Amino acid sequence: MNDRKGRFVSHPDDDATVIEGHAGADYYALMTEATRQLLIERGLLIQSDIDAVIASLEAPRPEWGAMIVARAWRDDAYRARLLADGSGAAAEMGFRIKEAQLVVVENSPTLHNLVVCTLCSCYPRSLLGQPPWWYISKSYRARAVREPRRVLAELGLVIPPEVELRVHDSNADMRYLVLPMAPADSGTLDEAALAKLVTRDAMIGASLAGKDATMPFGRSKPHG
Amino acid sequence: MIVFGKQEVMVSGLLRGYHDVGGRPAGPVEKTTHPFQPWQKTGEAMRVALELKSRLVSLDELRRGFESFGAELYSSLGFYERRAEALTVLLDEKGVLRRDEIVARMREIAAGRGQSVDFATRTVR
Repeated sequence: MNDRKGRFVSHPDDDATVIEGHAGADYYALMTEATRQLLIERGLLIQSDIDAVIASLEAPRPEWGAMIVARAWRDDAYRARLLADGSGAAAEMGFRIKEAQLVVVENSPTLHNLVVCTLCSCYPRSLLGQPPWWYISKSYRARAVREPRRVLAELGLVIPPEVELRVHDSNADMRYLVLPMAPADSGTLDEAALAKLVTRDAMIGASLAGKDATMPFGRSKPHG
Repeated sequence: MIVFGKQEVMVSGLLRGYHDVGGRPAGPVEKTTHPFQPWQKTGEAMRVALELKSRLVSLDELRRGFESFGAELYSSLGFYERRAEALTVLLDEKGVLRRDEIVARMREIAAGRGQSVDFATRTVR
């Protein structure tokens, strides 16, 4: 918790405030079913309305974001447009970001970016699909802005102390996508092969691109 | 100053909502995954469909729902459970579906499955 001047002080009860509870899922599954039946009976929805939205929730996937990243790695002009206007550059490739402005942040040998949504769960769902469970957990939301290096280490990514770490807190109007660095040995690959090196977590900043997550920090920047 | 569980929280003179967890201490980040359950998809889809069809429930309203239904409930529920609870609160508030209608239907469905609902502890058995 914070004291009167906004300084951070520990409090014995703090832990209790951010434990994620999952008890009661059956109860809420039942509540959802009851609500669905009643909404349909009252003519407020028909089942196909619900099914259509479910299909649109299920379609986006990390591979879509990976295609954007791979294009940016191979095409400097596209990369510049992507960094200037994420939503516009995504639309060029046929991906419509429906929920908010897409802001793309670029990793470099001296800068690593990490995305969080401390207030809720904002995430570019219409591009990447549903966020990983840890992203919406209260532990991640609480700690990513306080001790991001420690959190990343727990997720398996050690950021060297000399590399700057920037944490981006998403909100209702802005969704972030991390443009990771191209793996060192990816120079001859085409876009389709490059896209396979880009994972969901790399686009959140929780891992690096490439099969082997050895640290590429310190080597020369792929795009000069 | 607001009371958050047993705590009183004040940040630079501003009220801090219980959902505003950024910077608070918490346990380890678990990298476990849970499947996106059918009921969770249905819950999300109903809310979006209601917005698309008749602008009945916006995402901002849903957030206002779970960001004001109380710290105790918020901290005891998981992500999708929170949203399901907030949808019920909003539909009731707007006079679309009363909570007692939803509760009655929950009882009915549970009974049909040979189950009963304990509304105090939010469990089905």
